[in-house]
This record gives sequence, structure tokens and C-alpha cells, in this order.
Amino acid sequence: MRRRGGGAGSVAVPARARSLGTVPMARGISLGISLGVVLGTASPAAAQQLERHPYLQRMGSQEVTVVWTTDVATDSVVHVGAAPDQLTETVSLATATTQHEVRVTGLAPGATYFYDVGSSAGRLAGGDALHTFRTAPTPGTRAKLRAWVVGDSGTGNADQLAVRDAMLAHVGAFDGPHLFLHVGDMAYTTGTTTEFTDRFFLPYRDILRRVPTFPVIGNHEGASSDSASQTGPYYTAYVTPRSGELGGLASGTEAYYSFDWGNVHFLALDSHESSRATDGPMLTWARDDALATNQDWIVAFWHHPPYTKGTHDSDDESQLIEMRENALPILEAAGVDLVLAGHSHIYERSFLVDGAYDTPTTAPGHVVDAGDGRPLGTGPYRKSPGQVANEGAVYVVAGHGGAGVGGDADHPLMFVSEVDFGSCLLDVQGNRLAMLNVRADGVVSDRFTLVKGTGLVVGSPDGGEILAPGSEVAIRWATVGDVPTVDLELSLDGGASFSAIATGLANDGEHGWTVPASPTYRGLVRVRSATDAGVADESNASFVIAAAPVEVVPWGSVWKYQDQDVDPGATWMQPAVDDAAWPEGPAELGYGEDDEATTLLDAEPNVPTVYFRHHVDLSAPLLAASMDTLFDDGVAVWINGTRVFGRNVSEDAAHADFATSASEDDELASASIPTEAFVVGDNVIAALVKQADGSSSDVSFDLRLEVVLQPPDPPPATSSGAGAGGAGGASATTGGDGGLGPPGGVPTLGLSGDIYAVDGLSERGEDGCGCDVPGSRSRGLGGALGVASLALAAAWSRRRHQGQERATDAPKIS
Amino acid sequence: MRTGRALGLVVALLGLPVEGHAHPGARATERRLDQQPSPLRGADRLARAEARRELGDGLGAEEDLAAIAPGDVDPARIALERARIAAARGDLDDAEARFGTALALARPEGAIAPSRWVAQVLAERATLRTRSGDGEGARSDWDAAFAVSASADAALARGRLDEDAGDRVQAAAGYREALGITGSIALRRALVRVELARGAWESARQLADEAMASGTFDVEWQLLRAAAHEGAARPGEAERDRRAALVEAERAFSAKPTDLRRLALARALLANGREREARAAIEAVLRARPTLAEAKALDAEARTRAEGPRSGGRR
Repeated sequence: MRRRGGGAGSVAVPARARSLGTVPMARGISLGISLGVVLGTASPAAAQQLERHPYLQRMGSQEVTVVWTTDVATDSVVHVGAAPDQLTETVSLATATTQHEVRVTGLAPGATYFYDVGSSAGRLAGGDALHTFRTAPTPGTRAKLRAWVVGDSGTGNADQLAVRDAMLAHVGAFDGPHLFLHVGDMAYTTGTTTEFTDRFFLPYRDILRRVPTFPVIGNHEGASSDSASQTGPYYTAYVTPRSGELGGLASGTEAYYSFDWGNVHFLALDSHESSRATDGPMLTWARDDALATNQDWIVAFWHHPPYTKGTHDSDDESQLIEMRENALPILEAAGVDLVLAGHSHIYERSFLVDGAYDTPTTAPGHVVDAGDGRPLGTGPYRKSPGQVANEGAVYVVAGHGGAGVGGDADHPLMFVSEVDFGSCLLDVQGNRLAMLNVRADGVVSDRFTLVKGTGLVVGSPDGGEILAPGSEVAIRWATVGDVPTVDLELSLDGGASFSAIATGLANDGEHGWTVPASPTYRGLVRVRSATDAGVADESNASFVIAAAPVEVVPWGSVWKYQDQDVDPGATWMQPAVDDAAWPEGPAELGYGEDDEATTLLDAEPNVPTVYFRHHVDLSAPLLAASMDTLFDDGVAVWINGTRVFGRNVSEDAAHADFATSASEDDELASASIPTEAFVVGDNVIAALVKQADGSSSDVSFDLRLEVVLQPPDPPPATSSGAGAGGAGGASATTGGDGGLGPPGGVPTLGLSGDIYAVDGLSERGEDGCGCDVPGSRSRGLGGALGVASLALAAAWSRRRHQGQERATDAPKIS
Repeated sequence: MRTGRALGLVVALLGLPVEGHAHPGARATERRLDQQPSPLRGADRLARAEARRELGDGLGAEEDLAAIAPGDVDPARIALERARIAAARGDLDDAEARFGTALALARPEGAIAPSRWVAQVLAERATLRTRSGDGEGARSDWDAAFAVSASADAALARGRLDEDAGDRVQAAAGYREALGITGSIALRRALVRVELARGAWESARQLADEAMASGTFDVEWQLLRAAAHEGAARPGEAERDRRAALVEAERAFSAKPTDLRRLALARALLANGREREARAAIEAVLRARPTLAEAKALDAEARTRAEGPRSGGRR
């Protein structure tokens, strides 16, 4: 991208400033945006280009540091405001640099801002709906928190991208993470500047510009960065809260640090280079920091896992052993609830465990709760309110972010071990912490929940479902403690307001609910104690209530047909084929049963194959589609050239081939159709029927298609002004979401410039996990759908079909 | 994913372990390299030597090093590995010599992070020298390591050696210098402890005041300040701090009954002369976490108080 103005070639270009460890830094300068001033003078304009697009660092409730890199050194300018076209506040740094780090302070907690970056000569990026962020809530606030947890991702390969895309598809347009925790190994192989740019900042570019990253150093970054001196590409790239800016105790180093987000205290440790000695600087600080925090939850993360049998063995390797033997006693004594790590390329999730410090690790005596921790399984893991001694923590190894997975997967403390790519989402609501594993194929393969004190946990709907109006849906929840009666509530606006579904229900954990005819993208269910409003829980993420199904092809529709025993060629089902000259007639089409509305050619011997085409105009992308067909003897159906269904017709059947077997007379079949096959506008449904043999006396065809159109766009989020701390007129949007789409706008994933293929079609099982189990899958949507519908289609691809049956033939979308 | 040969050579020459993306542990590394067709590259030989040493096979490790072709791997890296092998087999003199060779051969201009490499070797040699009883040599190494990297780790280790040698003035100076650079809470703790030990009461009080202004858990710093007041013959202020610490410790433990806060409460009880309750609290922690170093240390302190003349908190 070229910036505006500057006249490339007409101005002397400053010498490239970047050299390892000596990058000119604009770090450490704090300017309140209320100042609204431009400091100093601009450096000479130049043909400046972005090397790393803007990313967010050190975000708290009142500040953020916006970082980007350029190919030539210039001054740094950030504009911030409440809307893309109202970037009313300016923060500038006069120092010419290629590593631009601009700290913006004076922001309002939990507020949405928009921004751009550039130099005094003009904008380089931003000033649009995609460059936005939402500040952390006020520390201690029990606001919803969602964090994306990734480890060992930095390969730049397809697996890394698949992991990313699976997360994006899962969270959809509205429920993206508020923060990004990376547990190390983000830039293989040796953490060089180029590797960081290509394998971290580029693949995650569209996430990083909206979601602040909190990293820890992995061994691969450690190959070229030095924790003691805080130099090298890792320390150049990141700005972490070393001075307790975001809550917590100042560590004095960017190698390890802490911060508060809502009611969660995060502790980030350096397990690679800093001393892991019990009385060393890092663990002394960690001890003091964890001792001091009063937040409801403590989540610690670092690179080397204390428990693993993946590509590493925590019983064999010194860094892992030392973190277990030295760090865990301190953290568990401080009441740590969750420990996240990577390094071992696997997904592992423990039971609720405590005190397992021995080498080798043994389980007896250390498993506090041997259940599955799943809200609808054996139930959530339970702890007392606050941080209490000896009640256990859950340990997660999330080293499955993109580098080759493997291992024995048999650690005795692990409830789940899965050798497959993926990443994790951490959700916290008040006194409930939940985590799920999203595999690279889109399947949610594990989830667990921790509840402190009395609590309720919504199990379903929990986000991502598509519910049909009028359908009967089971709202299910788990209860910890004594909650005799509950109220159920529904939000159609992402939690901004709720209305009653039912009140004073006996708390048996389930309620049959008839989905109202109120289309929305932002549905949430809340379950609340009828006697204590403070005991409540809501869906982690939004579900959809679809519009009523529309019958776009009724029984008896008029079809073009070709029954003259002419092979129409291999492309007859493609949309571009001109079928104007084909005869047409209403269904049922066929002969031999006297129930046909249109009689087809009854030749001797039989015509083996008859072809049909029908056009359907769709005004919006689809959430779901289902088909019923009447046929005799074989049938195959294509949507816009993609085969979506077949019965008794092989995939490679030629015109002269007969059906692979005979059907009943007027046999009926039903199937759901992948929505990816459809486009907005003209769609061509092509079908063929085949005779069973040359002597069969009848043939039949009719087809009915019903679709669910996407709801209309949600209303824009409200803007409620600056709020506390928003001095200087920098008002912010305080409603809305933490998603990856523009707040309140048309939902997209913000994939500007790049259309990433998104996989992941699955159905959720009822094993108590609320997890997905593999189902048939569809692949790449291609360019037929726009960005918005791509995002939606991906997000909705996890749909739970209500009373529908998947096609017996796997979709063949290429 | 493979590491390209060119990159592998560069990395090897820079003295860094070559690791694939799977970066397996020692056992897996040895197994993988055992299965590779001969001849192994120098970097692989070095990686297997490291793995074999970690697995206790010093002889196998030496064989690998001996088989590395001249020029294939930075000789400083080979010398460092030989030093580690010697240290692992307990030949401290040989290890000392080989560490020296590694440092002498180091080519900082060629390494990605030369200061880190040198600081790491110095730290390892310092640890070895401590094992050998060469405190002066160890201190010298930590001092050099701190000069290279200004890390809290090195400053803390250096200061502890100063304290062991009875040189509290030098220890305090070192801690203070490093605290100013790093802001490490561990250095602040070490410094206030030394200041109290050498009777620098005002310095100790000031360090405690600064800590309490920075978001620390107040109980322990109140107790340290109480000790400073006591030393400076301000018994009233000392008493006030001890009592405030106990009140705060009880409140904090009530709000969040973790083991660490129970130990803080025990410390406050101990300072206020309530040894029996303090010991009960410590024992409760030790029952759950018998290996918790802090609990063991406090337990020892409580026992010493109980066995010795009554000292209470009102010294």
C-alpha cells in the first residue's frame, strides 16, 4: 500500500533504520489523547510502505499501544475516534522510526474505537470499519471475556491457516475474541524478523488489528531473542505491560508480566530463558503478583508445559520439569485456576488437579475431580469463590496451532489428549470459566467449565446454532450448588436487553422452548436463579433465529427437460448452459403411472436418462436448504453445477448407463443441501432421472426445495459517548460486541484483500460435551459468494439441523 | 517442515541448536538421529550429543562430538558441550577448563545474540564454580554476565555470593544498581533484607514504602518496615506496622484463603508473638504442599524462634 502524497522518487528516502537490536523505538512515551496535539515536526515524506500492518499491544481499560512497521523511517501518527469518519483525536511521535509504537491513553473502559495509522504525510492504514478495537472493561468487572489461545503456530503453512480459519468460522461475525494469548513458538524456525512478519503478523493480520496480543516467548523465538537484555525480534515486536500498567505487579521486564482483564488476572511467564529457580527473579515476582491480586480468576500461561506426553515429555525435559516443580507449587498456593502452555504439539486438557509436582508425574492423590468438567456431562468442575487453596487447577497444552502434531497422548493427568491441529477459546462470565478446543476441521472436540461457588452454566444453545422459528428447542443448563428455581430469558440483541422465556421454573436443567419468529443473528439465552439475580449465566456466543423457511421450488413446479435420448454432454448441469430451447412442463414429469402432469417420451427400448433444469432466484444468502424429491428409479441433483444429491446414480454415470438399482414407484427422498452451493441471484437446479433397465415401465420426477434466508442485517450498535475517561471529545461506541466484524455493521470477518477458504461442517453430538462430532463436510466456497456471505456461511456451517437429515451422498463441491 | 541446509549450517555456526518444528525432547531427538542415514551433519551430531548428555550417556555424547568434521560446527559450541559433559560426570576441573575454552573461542560478531551466548556460558561456569567452592570466581562470572545482559538473574546470583562472603555493603550496592535497571521485585526483597541485616534502617524503610506504593501485597512489606522501625529505635511505629500487618493479613486471608495468604498470615502472627497460631497455619500449608519452599523456610524460622529465647515480634 502506498500512502497518499509524498511523491515517490521525488524525495530522499531515509536510510533503512531496522537492524537487529538497534531498531529506533518510540516506546514508552505516553500521551493522553485528550491532548489532541501533534508533537514535533514531521520527518520527510517518503515512499513509505507497511511491512507489518497495525496490531494492538498492551491494551487495558484506558489505553492501547498501536504498533506497525514500515520500510522507511518516518514519524508516527495515530488518529482515534468513535467512528471511522470521526477520528477526532491525534497522537503523534516525532521520532523517525520503522517500528512505530504509539501509546494512546485516556480511553474509556469497555468502549469501541476506530483508528488509523500513518505519518504526518498521510494515512497508511485504517480509517475504516475494520480498524477498530474495544478496550478492556474496568478491572474487576464481571464482563464477558473471550480469549483465543494459540501455541506453536508459526509455520506459515496451511495447517496454521486452517487453525485460524476454524476459529474464525466458529466465532462468527459477532463473538470474536477480546484478546489473543499466544503461548509461544509463533515464528519458526529461529524467530527472525522476517519469520515474525511472514508467519505471525501476516497470517493473523486481520485479527491483530482488532484483537490485542499478549505473548510469551517460545524456544524458537528464544533462538534469536534474549530475555535478559530484552533484545531481538521478539522483544522488538511486542510491547508488554512490564510496569503494572494494566493491573498486577510491575515485573520490570517484558519477558514476564501480568495484567487484568475484567475479573481475570493473567500471568505470563518466560519458561524458556529466565531463571526458573524458586527464589529467582521471575518466580519471586510471580509469587508476589499472584499473592497480591484480588481478581476472581487467575490464568497463567507460558511455553513449556508442566504436564504433557505429546511431542515432548514433561517427565524428561528440564524446562518442563522445573516449571512443574518450581512454578506450580507457588501458583497453586496462590489459587491459580487455569494454566495454558504449548511447546508440545498436541491438545491436552487435564482433570481438575492439585499438587502433582513429582517427577515422573503420577495421578493418585492429585486429581481433585475426575469428572469430565463438561456442563452437560458429569458437570462443571467446582471451586469455592475467589482463590482458595487446594481446590485444583486445569492444565491445557495448546501446542497444536500449526506445527506438526504428534506424541503418545497418554499423560495420566489428562482427561483429553488429541493429536490434531486446533486452538482454544477461553470464555469467562462472572464466576464461570469455560474453555473449548476448536479443531482445524471446525469440530469442537472438547469443552470444560469451572464454577466458583453457586452457579448456573448454559449448555445449549451456547452459540453458533441456527434455530428455526416454531421449532422446539431444549434449553439445557448445569447447576452448581442449590438453585431451586430459575428464570429463563432471551436476548435478540447480543445481550443488550433480555425478555422472559419462562419464570419460576423448577430447576431440572432443561426446558422445552418454542423458538419465536423473531429473526436475529444475536440470540442469547440466559438462565438466572429466581431468588438470586447474581447467579446467572448466558450463552457464550450468539445463535441465530432464522426467518421462516421459504418454499422456493414447490411440488409441481415447471421444469425444462430433455427426454429425447440425446447425450447433452458433460456440462449440461452447469448454469451457463443455454436451456432456452428445452421443452418445459409442470411436475410430476414421467410416464407409466397415470399421475404425471407432463408425460415424457416412453421409447422402446427405454431412454436411460432424462434431464431437467429449473431456475430459482434468491434474494439473500441462505442459512439452510432442504430438498425433497420424488423419483423412479435413480436420481441425481446439482445446484449451480455442483452435485449435491444422488440416489441409485453413480457419480460417473454416462448417459447410456442405467440406475444402479431399482426404486419403489414414486420413491421419496429428503436431504439438506449445503448452502455454499447457492448464490444470491439466479440459481440453476439440474437433475436427472435414470431408468433401472431397458424394460422398466415407468419413470417419475418431481422436486421441492425449501430454504431459510439469512435474517436482515442487525441494527447498528448504539453510540453512547465517551464515558468515563474519554476526555477531549473522543467519544466511543460502548455498545456492540467483541466480534471480528465491524461493530453493528454488516457482519464480515474483515478479511480485506484476502478471501480465505473456510472449512468445517459438522453436527453437534449429545454426549454431554456439547462438542461437535465429525459429520460430512463441504469445502471452499469459492468466489461466488461475497465476503459477507462467506463469513456467514462459515459461521453458520456449524448449524444444528432441526429435524433434517443430511444427504446420504457427501456433497461434492469443488 | 525441514530446516534448509543453508540455514542449518548458519544456525550451527552460530552455536544454536538446530531444531525442527517438532523440536522433540532428548529421547526423541536421539531416536530420530539414530535412525538417520550416516553420515550425520555436524549440527545433528551436536544435537545428539546434547540429547545423549541429557540422557546420561556422556560417552556417547563425546563420541558424537569427536566425529564432527572440523569447521562443520562452531568450535566454541563444541567446547561448551564438552564442558557440560565434564560437569555432568563431575569432572569440575575439566569442565572449568572447557568453559574457558568456549569463552575464548566465542566469536560474538558471528552470533545472532552474542551477549546472550556469552552470558549463558558465564552463568553456567559461575554455577560450576560455586559447586567447586570457587566463590570468588563465580562472583566474577556473574559480574561479567550482568555487565553483558544486565539481567536480574545475574544480579541476584552475584549479590547472594557477596552475602555469602559476608560483604553486605557490596551486595547492597549490587542489588541497588540492578534494581534501578530492572525494577525486579526479587532484587528489592534481597536489598531490603541486606539493608536490615547491615542496619541500614532508613534505606530499608524507604524500600518498603516504595514497594507498598507499587501494588504489592502490603502485609510482608509492613512487616519489613516494622523491622526497620524497630532497628531505628522507633518501637511505636514498629508496633503499629506489625499490628496493621496482622489486621491486613487476616482480612486478606478471609477474602481469599489461599496458601500464600495463609503463610502471610502466619508471618504476621509470628511477628506479633503468636507463635502457636502461626505454626498451625504453616503446618496446614505444609500438609497440602510439603514441597513449598516458602512454607518450609517459614516453618524453620518458626521452629528456631520456638527453640530459642523468646523473641516474639517485639524485638
